[in-house]
Amino acid sequence: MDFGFLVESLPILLRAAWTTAWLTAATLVLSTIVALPLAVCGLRRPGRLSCVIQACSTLMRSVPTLVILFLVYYGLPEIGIVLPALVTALAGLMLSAVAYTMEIFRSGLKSVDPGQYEAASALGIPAWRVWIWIIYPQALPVVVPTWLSNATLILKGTSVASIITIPELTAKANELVAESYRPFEILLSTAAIYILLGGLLSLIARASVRRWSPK
Amino acid sequence: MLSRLFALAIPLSTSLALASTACAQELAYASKLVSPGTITIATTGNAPPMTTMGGDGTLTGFDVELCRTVATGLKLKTEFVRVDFAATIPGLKSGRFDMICSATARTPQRLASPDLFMTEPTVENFSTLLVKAAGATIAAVGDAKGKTIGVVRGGQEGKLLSDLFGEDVTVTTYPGIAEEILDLKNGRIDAVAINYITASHHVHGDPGLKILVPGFERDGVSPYTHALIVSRSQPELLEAVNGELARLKQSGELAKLEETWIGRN
Repeated sequence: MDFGFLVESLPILLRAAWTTAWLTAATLVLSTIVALPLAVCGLRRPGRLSCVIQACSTLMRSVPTLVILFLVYYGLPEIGIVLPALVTALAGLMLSAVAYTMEIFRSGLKSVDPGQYEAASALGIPAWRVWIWIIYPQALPVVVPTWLSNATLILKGTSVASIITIPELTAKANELVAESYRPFEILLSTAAIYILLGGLLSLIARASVRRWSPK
Repeated sequence: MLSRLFALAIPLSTSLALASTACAQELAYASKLVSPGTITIATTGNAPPMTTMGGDGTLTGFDVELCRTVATGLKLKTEFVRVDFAATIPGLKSGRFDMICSATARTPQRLASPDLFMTEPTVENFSTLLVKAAGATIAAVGDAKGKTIGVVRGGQEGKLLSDLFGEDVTVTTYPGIAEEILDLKNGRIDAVAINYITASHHVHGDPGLKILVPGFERDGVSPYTHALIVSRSQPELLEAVNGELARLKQSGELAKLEETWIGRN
């Protein structure tokens, strides 16, 4: 272990970690926002729309993110659509994250007693308010732990964005290893940064459970 | 009479002594090989024409065939292991391989590295730019200033570009050559910074691409030579491989390999 070298390469790793962090955050926020209404769809009465959503979800969970990113970034220009790397990365990561997040929300929502929904609609509360103010908060304790472990997967999953030229943490780490031939210093500090980011996610999730779960 | 006997005996004993040291040397590296009687070589198999997969699914290429020839000369069998480039040096350090052959450049940093030995040069090369043959805005390597250039992650070209142009060039990093050439054709980048040998291989039969000659010039970086890498714990093996390389150079076998795999474009 050469600590001088570690100090030298740390700024590069930290800059890359910043890219990883906001790519993770953006993917999490976007996929959660998109998944919230999609998860509700068809939960009480399955319809044609919910069947389509279900089929898409199965498809997106089966196709590796790497393949999606590759096809969108290198394949679409063949038919004249040239998207910037960042847009492609966000769209690709979000598409596969939405499918998982939706399933997590659905399992949480199903755990809430149907009586709650029936009672709320009997009181004449509009459907969207029932979901947001009554059902989702009760599903939260079930949803959050799974959502969190999925968030950690998304954090690590952002490394596939390196194939479409995004300079995120894993890409930069590999680059430094290839340049310096010092895999242990680089990979250990990379792991430490991932652990920090994962720990941060866990703290945020725990705080949000305390804030929003029903008293 | 006595003096004549002496005159005979001295060269005889010297040659005997030489033969015994040669034998001891042979044993010295033979006993340290990863598996006895076999030289274990790490290669990526994805850097044609240096290391690549042949039509029959076996490893081949200039570096691979060179290793086979060297091994034959040393009366050793070869065992090739395909790994990622990033895994080659750690594997060498931890004693999983005896040698690395993967189009590695003989750079000053690697020559000074405490983890490996670089053999004598095998073939000459230089870094340059690959551009689209039609409508390219770059006519010489100096025109890279202010442009967007693709490089392969971990290759020497990324550092070379930032050393030469600093902030005046936008470097985009790709996982491999296929991706950067695709993106050159897609128009996201203006050129690909790449070494001449690899570029020639990819341009071969593709009239849409053009290699710029002369290439970049920077001390100790480009032009450069390729070499094989030997484990630092095997100085005797390094000597033996260097001996073989010298022999192959003299006999013209090295030039023949170069002709077959790299050719003269």
